[in-house]
Amino acid sequence: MDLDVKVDKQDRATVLTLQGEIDVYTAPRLRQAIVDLVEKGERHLIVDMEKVDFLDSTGLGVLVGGLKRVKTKEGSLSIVITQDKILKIFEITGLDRVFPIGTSVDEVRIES
Amino acid sequence: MTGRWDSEELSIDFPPKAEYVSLARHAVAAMARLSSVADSVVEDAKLAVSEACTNAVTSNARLSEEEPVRLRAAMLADSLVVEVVDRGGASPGGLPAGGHSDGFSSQEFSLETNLSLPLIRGLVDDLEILVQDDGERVVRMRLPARPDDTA
Repeated sequence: MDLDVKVDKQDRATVLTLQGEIDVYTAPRLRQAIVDLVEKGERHLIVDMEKVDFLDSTGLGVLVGGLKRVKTKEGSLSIVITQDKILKIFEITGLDRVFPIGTSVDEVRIES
Repeated sequence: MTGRWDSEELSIDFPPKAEYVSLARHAVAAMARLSSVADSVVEDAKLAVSEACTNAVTSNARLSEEEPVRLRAAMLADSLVVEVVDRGGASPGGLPAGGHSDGFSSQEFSLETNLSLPLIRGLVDDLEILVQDDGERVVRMRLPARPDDTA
């Protein structure tokens, strides 16, 4: 399974729509996408994980790295999660208290 | 890569490369599903296997591209038991830090290794990390076949 990353500018925020699996092999692709966006000046990112089939700590590390990058530019990184199995990973690691998390892009866009 | 798989037992030796981690977790998941393991446990097993194999790949890749990671899984009574064996015993204190074989090393990676062990502990019933004198390290995990099973 691969990871597909689609980028779409919506109002103030840029939405990264992910599809596939995020692990040690595919996470660098997500990391590069975030780095490229921040270098281009995008500060408010929304990562839509509705179609993510698998996420491990490598992917979490990339998301935390992305959050640090946008925070240094007074930006935000919010996450859309609709699956219990994905939310569980954030809860076990305590990252559900670090990221703004919602169940739709519209919901987290209001917070960003 | 070498392997053996039937409905209740799985054995795979694979190179320490990131692309094989996916294969490892999907193989364990397929075996578990054939044994009617609950879907939620299969998902937990996939994540635990992925975490352990990622660390094993990282550890072995530091030594040699030829040093295989050994994955063993078996259905025992009402449990799924998984072992991941690497040569990471030279790093004391459990799962090690280090760089990835594909060059993915960054601040994010050090965080990843910090999250890996808490994640595994949060997913499995029993976790043992055994380090031999020769540097061989065995990460042994046990998950109940069904969420309400206890052992």
